[in-house]
Amino acid sequence: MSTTPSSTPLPQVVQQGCASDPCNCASAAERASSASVSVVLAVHKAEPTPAVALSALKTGQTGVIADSNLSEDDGKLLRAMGLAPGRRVVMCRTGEPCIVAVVSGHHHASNPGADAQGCRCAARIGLARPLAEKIMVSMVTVGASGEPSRGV
Amino acid sequence: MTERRVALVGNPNTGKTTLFNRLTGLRHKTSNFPGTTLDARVGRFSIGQGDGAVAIELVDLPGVYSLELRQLESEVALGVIEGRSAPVGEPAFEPQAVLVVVDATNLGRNLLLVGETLRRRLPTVVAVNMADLAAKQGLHVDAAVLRERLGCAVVLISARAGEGIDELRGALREAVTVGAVPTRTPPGDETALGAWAEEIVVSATSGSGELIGRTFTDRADLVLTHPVLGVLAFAGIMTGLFLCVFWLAQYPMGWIEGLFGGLGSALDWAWDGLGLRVGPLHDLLKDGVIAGVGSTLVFLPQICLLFFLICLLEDTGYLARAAFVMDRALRPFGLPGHSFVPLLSSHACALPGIIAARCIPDSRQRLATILVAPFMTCSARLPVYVLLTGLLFKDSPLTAALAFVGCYALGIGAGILSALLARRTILRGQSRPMALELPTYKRPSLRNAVLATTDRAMVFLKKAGTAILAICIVLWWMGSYPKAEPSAKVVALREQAKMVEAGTATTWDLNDPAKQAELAKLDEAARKKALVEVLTARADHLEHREAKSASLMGVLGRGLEPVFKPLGYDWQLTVGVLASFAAREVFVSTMSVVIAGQEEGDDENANQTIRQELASATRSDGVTRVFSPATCWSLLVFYVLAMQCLPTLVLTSKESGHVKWAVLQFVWMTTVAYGGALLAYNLARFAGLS
Repeated sequence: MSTTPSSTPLPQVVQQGCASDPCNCASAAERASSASVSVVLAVHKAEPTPAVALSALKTGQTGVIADSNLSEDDGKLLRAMGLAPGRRVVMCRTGEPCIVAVVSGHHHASNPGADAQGCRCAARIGLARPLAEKIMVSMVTVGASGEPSRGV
Repeated sequence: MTERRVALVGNPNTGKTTLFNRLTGLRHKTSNFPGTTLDARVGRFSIGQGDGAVAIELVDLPGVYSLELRQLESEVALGVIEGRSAPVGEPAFEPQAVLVVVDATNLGRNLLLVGETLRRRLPTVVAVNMADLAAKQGLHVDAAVLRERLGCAVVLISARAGEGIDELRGALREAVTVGAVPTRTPPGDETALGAWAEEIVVSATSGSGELIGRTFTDRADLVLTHPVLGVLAFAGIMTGLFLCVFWLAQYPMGWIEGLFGGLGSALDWAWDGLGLRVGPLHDLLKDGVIAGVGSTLVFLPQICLLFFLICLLEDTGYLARAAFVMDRALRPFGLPGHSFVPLLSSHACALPGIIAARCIPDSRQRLATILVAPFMTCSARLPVYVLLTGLLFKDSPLTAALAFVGCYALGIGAGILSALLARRTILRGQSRPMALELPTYKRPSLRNAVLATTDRAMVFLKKAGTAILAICIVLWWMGSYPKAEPSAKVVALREQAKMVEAGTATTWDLNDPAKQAELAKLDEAARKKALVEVLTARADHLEHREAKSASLMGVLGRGLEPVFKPLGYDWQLTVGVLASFAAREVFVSTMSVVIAGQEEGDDENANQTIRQELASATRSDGVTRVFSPATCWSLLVFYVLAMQCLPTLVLTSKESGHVKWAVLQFVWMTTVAYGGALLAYNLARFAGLS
């Protein structure tokens, strides 16, 4: 496994499309097949990233829902639909409306063994921009160990 | 055998309907929840046989994400679970058990609803649906662990394949007979409930399932939800759907028309056979009842086909994508993407369009869609457009075609602007911004589609059929009574026909050189026969015209002529406009009778003659043309915008839950039509087209 560091600064957030494991939590075997990417990312320890609006995520980017300033009714509905704090989401299509995939329970932020399980979609939700703008997410970045970590 | 009520609860897209159909089959009835337009299905089935059999009444509740949302669906579901509410026609009491359907591939979210239900302390059975699909994706659910953690019965099922249904029946039987409440109580706090659900998922499931971005759904969505490709795909799919509806529906529609035509002839034959005199009872049965029922049933194939195909599309998961891609276009007008299918359906007929509006979750948006759906150009307007554009652009088919397109555009424009106005005034209020689940694509279930279509067809027949029939009879009566005695001219024509038939006269001056020359070529016997036919037909036509003029509708037409005069209509056109308030296409036949004295039929030469007569017909002054260019423009605009379909008004009243919305729809559309026609008439006159 190569450990050559890259001289070019790499983005801390994995910006690949959905089709290529956007939440950076493929199984170990799958990760090994794309070793160069994983290892290069691993040597750049992630800095904490500030929370951003869900609508600011680019296609393929992953975030963990931190907070929201939605109305009470909208907040309740979205939490019931799976967009609850602590949930990991992947932006599948940007724009108005956008599509986010809610990552299954195994990849809930509280689950320490998440990355070894594969990244399964629990639900895809089409979301209007006024809602997506009010949901704050911490972007998921890659830490030194190669495991996902969260920004603040 | 005492019946036990079981409430069926679940998130949307969990296969709740499939399970309901699987358990109850055709043994169900559809009504509404009180004061709402939400469908309420109640199915009945028994578990076991003989004395030990348990009768179950299964109440299918609306799909909800939570019982505690301030949404109609959640309030209705909670009301039934708490025994405060029940479908119309059923007594309200607390159900003996709750059956919660959850999606095995999305257990975490579904368990939130399970948790809320368990807190109600009712005997609960959790059916983990699509367990087979989850297993195929590599995700395994351990029912024993789930049972232990939830403290209630848990059964893994596949509603589509029918797997686990017997076990589920057994669990239901135990729940309603033993009545054991759940042994565990989930936390009440929302955050704690989420953690509780996650913890259960981690302990009760194993395997990874399909990865994001690698499923068929992800690949298909790359195209079907794309801002450009998605709209193109949507246009293609909808075009295919409507071509199918139009193409396939024409056959059963023809059969229904033939059937009712045959019934009319059978009635004549029976009347003759019994030696009865043709009179009011015969006319009521033939022209009122048979024609009225026929005119309603003829829409049924279109409605059934449309719903069958829409159900299939919905079942595949595509319909949610259609709403997604159209949301951007419709949102500025206060309508959601869901409105597109109802509005598109209304281009065939407003009736299925209004029923299709049930798929719109927000009640204000649903009402706005129902109110504006009749602005879309339905197929009943087409004969009127053909007549008027033909009169306006007789020698320019291209211009006529452009005018046709303009009529469609005017209808769409008026509809969406009216929706915007309604959403900014009477239906003001924040719309639900789109938060729409896009389910995984699945192979559709024919069984579900057939059952849902049957349901819709029965609702349509039950709701619209009786009222429409009554209205048809009233309008037939207004157009037929009071009967007028035949005029001297009619009597003279009939006398002449009799003389020719008796051989006391073999020739007659028809005041028609062409016809006269045609008859002269025939031998004597054929000439005699043809002459009798011509004279009798003339007498019939004249009598029809006089009858229409003397009927209540004719009297109303003369009385209301001043109201329509500013639009350029004389009493004859006023009769046509009034008659077509029952159904728009009646305008052409009414004008044919009032002006030409005969209805259009299958004979194209005769129809051509009628159209020529209409084009050259004059008003009472004998100089001004009835169909002047300015009047034609005015009529065209009026027919694009006016609400002239009583069945639609009946259905609007039923689907909106109150007659006031039908009244508003009628008043608004008629006002817009009147204003539009007035403007068109005066602009045309200003342009020198009078």
